[in-house]
Amino acid sequence: MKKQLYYIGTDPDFIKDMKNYILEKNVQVEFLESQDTPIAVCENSIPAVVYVDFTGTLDEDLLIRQVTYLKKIPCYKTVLFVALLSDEQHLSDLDYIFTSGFQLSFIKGGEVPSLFRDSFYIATNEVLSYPSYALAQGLYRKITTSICSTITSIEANGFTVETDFESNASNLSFSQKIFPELVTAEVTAGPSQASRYSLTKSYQLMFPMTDPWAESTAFSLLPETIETWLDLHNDQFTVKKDSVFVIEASSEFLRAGFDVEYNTQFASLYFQSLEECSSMIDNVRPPLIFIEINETDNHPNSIQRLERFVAEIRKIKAYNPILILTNMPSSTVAVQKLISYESILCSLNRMQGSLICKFAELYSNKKLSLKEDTSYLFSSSSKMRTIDINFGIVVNKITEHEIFFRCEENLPMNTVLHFHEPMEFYATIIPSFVENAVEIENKMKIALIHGVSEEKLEGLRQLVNLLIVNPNTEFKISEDHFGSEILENKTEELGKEKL
Amino acid sequence: MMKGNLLIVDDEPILLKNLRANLEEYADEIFVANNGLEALEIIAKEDIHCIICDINMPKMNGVEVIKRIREQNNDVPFIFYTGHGNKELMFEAIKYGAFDFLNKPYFDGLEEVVSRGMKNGFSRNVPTDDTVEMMSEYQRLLQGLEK
Repeated sequence: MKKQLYYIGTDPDFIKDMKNYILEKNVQVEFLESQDTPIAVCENSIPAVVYVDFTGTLDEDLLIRQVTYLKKIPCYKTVLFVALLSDEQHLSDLDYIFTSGFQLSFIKGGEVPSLFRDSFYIATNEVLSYPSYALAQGLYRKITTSICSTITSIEANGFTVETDFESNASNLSFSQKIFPELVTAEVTAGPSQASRYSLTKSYQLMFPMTDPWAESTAFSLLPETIETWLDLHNDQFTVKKDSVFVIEASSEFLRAGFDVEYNTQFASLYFQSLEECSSMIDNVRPPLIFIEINETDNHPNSIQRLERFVAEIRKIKAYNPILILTNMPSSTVAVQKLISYESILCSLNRMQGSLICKFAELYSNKKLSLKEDTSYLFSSSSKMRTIDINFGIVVNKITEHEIFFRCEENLPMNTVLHFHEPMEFYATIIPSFVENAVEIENKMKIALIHGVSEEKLEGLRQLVNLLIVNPNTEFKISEDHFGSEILENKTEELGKEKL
Repeated sequence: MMKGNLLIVDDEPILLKNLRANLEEYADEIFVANNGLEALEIIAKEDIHCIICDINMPKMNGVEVIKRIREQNNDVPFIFYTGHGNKELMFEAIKYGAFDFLNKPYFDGLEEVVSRGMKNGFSRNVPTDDTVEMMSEYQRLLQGLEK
């Protein structure tokens, strides 16, 4: 079956360019276009790539919310969502998309074939004929880069972040938008499993609080400062404290799960099987779990599998969720007795979005939250939640298209990094194009550069050329000097040095 | 007031006799069958509103009986009584729509369960939405959590 590539947007030129490239290179894919939402294009199939165009008239917030929701669902984790943006400012405004499930960006006006090759490689690991880019190597430049992460909530004395960064360090260093002067904080808990976004790890960090009796030069906060900030930014938060799990094999109720997320005070996590959600149960502890039972042979959502699932739930202390079974021909009491679990409800009817919302609403009205939570939870569409967690790397090689580096940290594939040197760009970790034993041994990582305009790419191209000529060239491109100017200046300097 | 007809299926005559005696006041008429085939014959002829059946019988077990009855598009409430070691059969029975399970040999709550089963079977021809019932059960669970 041909891999599906979906374009969501309204740009006929982009569609034409993509189609031309696919035809010209005879790539065996199905390119489809839609002006509908990400859920609509994912409902009946699992595409390899979805290009989401933010430059048109589609509802930006809805697009991001839906991708956030989809990427949390195990079967959609493999889908590559690519954000198409008008310029770098647009990307800067929407930088939180990299924690919302987007793993590649593209500034319109750039080379569509390059975008196609990159996205196709990330999604399928199949290499389409790449041009040979000029490669500056033997660099060994120590720089600091950062991993795109998100603050999920703020508490009175700290905050919680979700990230793909795995570390056992006692402090994390970062840059963020809430208190820009705050660049480091102590880890008080974690890493644990992330649950709000499609990221892997969660950490709790402590605010450095001002001690009126101690002399300190480091940045610290007064409790009042935090309170004032929270009051002033109330619109950035959501009231969602609890989650519902929806377990249903056919993705038929994908939209219903999103309706819960969108219309109720519950966050919604959607799984295709009981097994898929088992690992999340203890961490999230949803008070309501909706399960569409399927009794066809050896189905992963059969009543026998449910018994094992309930055994897992029983192991969790002080946790007694209500399980709502749909498509269940037997009565509630019969199932309660069979499974030996009282908080089970059964209905012969199929699962319905309206029913899930109704149950969630009634639960919210009773104010029965399982979590004693006084935190301020960021809305998924808040632009303030971005946090870049810093770590050191050694850059070995660079082209205008990819960057090769070593680092001690274990970075999952498709993690998005934010580089500040040699200039501002984003880069996505990809598997090596070539299995190179030396590079594997050296923990060499490769990241595809993106989120750069054609103009800035020209600057990077020229820096690479300069580094080839002189590997000692400063590893930096000034924001004010792009294009031919930088090359002229540098070659002039080089000429002087040689003289 | 009509109560409806009850069918008891078991291969042990003493149990059949005792159950019949205990449940007389809960049904207009009680039919008994010594095995699954006899039960199928009675169901074909009579208007049965609830069945109480041993899950573990020789030749044709209770699961086979409910399966055959459901194949005839008959959704009569089925109450199974089960002994130790019948878990696999119970899982099978659940697939076909079991109304309740009773423990053999004590039959705790027998009268209450049969009474509910008869009521359910008597009203099953009236189209109902079981989500209404589920919602009231949900409210009860929520009240329990509040406490």
